[in-house]
Amino acid sequence: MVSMENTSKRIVAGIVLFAIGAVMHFVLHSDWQLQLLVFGIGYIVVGYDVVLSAVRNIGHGQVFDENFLMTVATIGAFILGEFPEGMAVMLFFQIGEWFEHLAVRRTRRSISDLMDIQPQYANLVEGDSVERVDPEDVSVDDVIEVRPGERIPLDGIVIEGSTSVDTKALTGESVPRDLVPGDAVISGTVNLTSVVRVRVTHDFEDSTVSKVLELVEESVSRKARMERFITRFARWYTPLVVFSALLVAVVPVLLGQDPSVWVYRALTFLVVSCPCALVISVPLAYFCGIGASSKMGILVKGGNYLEALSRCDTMVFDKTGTLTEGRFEVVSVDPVGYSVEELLETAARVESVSNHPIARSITDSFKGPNAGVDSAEEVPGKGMRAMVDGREVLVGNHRLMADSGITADEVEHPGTVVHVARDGAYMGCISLSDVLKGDSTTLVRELKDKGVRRTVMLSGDDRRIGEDVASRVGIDEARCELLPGDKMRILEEIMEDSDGTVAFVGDGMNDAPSLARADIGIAMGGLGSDAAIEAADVVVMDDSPGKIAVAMDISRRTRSIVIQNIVFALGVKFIILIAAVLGYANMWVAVFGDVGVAVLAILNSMRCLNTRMYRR
Amino acid sequence: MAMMKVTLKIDGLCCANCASKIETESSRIPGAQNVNLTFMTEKIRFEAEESEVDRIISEIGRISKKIEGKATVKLHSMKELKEKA
Repeated sequence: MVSMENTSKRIVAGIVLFAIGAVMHFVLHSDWQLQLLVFGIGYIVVGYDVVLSAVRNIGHGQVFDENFLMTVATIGAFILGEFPEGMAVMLFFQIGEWFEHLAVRRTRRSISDLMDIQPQYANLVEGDSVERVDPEDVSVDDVIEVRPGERIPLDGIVIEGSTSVDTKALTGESVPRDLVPGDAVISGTVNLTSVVRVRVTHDFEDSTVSKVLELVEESVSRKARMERFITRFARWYTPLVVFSALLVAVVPVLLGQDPSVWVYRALTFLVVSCPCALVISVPLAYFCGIGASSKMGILVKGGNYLEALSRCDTMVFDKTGTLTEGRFEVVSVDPVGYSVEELLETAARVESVSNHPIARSITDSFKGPNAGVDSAEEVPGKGMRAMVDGREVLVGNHRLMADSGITADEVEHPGTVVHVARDGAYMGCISLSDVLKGDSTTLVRELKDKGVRRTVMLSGDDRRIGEDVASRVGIDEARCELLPGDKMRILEEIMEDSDGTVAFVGDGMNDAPSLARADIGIAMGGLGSDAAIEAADVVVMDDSPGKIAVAMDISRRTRSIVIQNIVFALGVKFIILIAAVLGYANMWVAVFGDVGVAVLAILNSMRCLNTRMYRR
Repeated sequence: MAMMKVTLKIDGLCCANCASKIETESSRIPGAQNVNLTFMTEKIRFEAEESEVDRIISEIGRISKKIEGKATVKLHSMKELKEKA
């Protein structure tokens, strides 16, 4: 890029010379030779590089080049004796270009600030000494030290010290996370309070920060349909306008009209023939939209996905890990002839040997010491059978009780009910509910406001649990008791039914095929999950489902800004072309239609970077 | 033969229209696949066989010079393309 300072000096010199020339032309009515001298020098000072590029590019066969068109238009104006206009068009063209560069440069800078999560160094611990090294030189199982204020360079596990970290750059979340030894740390986050030592679990290349940066870099290469359309359009637009200019210059003259009038009008055409306003501002809008999303902790893997999100009309959710935390909470303990403690303790001792999430919740809800069991076996699909202090205990569902001839209470609870019996005697039951993620409950209503017509929840869990969650969240349909393969099949059925775009929201652990199959795969809780980052098109870095609504907002806003720009730029250019044919538009107006419109469109696109309205 | 994924940085791109012309022409270079130029990041990416990378880079350099006289192309990063299972 030619240095901008140099260009600005030339522009200032140009303005001075233009002012002198204008006084000579409009006030003093000097000789034309004198005027030509002043405007001509001004023209050369301001626009020599444009003319040079034009000449060079003709040599390369680049006829419809912006420089060439400007050169023809301005020199044409000089030949017609319109010196002030010839110079003014060049001057404004350069001023406009200068603004364009400034705007593009500013956007580039704010985007790279946004992406400024690249750690510069790591403090490698070797014996008693700590050495500052390049994060790439650290290997797995090395120990690094991270001091307050430093960015965590590699993924790892805290082994010494406790602290809190700021994950804002990755998740958009401003509440710091607390870390104690044993916790996983994510690269790219910032250590806030105290020194910790971390055992590295991933090479730099595989660490979260590298993955995220690579993803954002690559995202810009997946272009939105609108961007492709603009590129194709630009290829036709310039030749078309130039050809029309030729017609405007030639046909009326053949019909006996005044050549100078029509040639001037044709030159006006050339000035508005560059589609730069669109070619810059449309991709820029998507770029800024993707940037804004990352700032909010949502990685969008391409302009095409950002665009598609605004058209999404069906959203399919996986239940566990997406809408719910995958954790159950005990909502009531109902003993029959025993104390609450005794029932809970008995159940907790048996469940302590199981890894099932429901078993874990029951175990966790018993606060006393857990003595465990003598022996235990799992009864698939029904529950557990165990020996506790020499007595046989059954913990499980209705069917488990029925198998042993025990009559369990009928409980009207929408979630899961676990029954307990000891030595053939019914002890009572424990009711549990699926814990919803914080903003799950408002999500569906928000999505409906944004044009999602149909919401479906898929779950492998029991119908009662599934329908309970669906009704609490407000989802239209719940498909429950599904096997892993069923999810994919149902998703495909839904996609066939839908005319619009279908998004699948999952946790990325088990849903990789569905994430890949859907028009848009949205993964929740991407932070720390390679699988999610890999498989999805949109990754919500933290765990809040509300971010899906935010992503849709960003998508819809980007889209409307793109449409504004297209309508505005083409509208203005078209009006100027018509006005020029009719003789109402001169070159002054046309040069606004070129660079003025480009600058306004760029400024409009930059609004996509603003994330203030998405924070809540 | 290893497929490489190459990213070049193009300095001196100032017209988005020219950028898209460079992209179009570069994607016609034999051996270069998935050519993609992003005006905003001033980067052009492509995939190619390792042995052809140098030829393609110099070809892209020539195209850029032709379309945007001030443009200079330099290697930003290159790595082996992992086949996705």
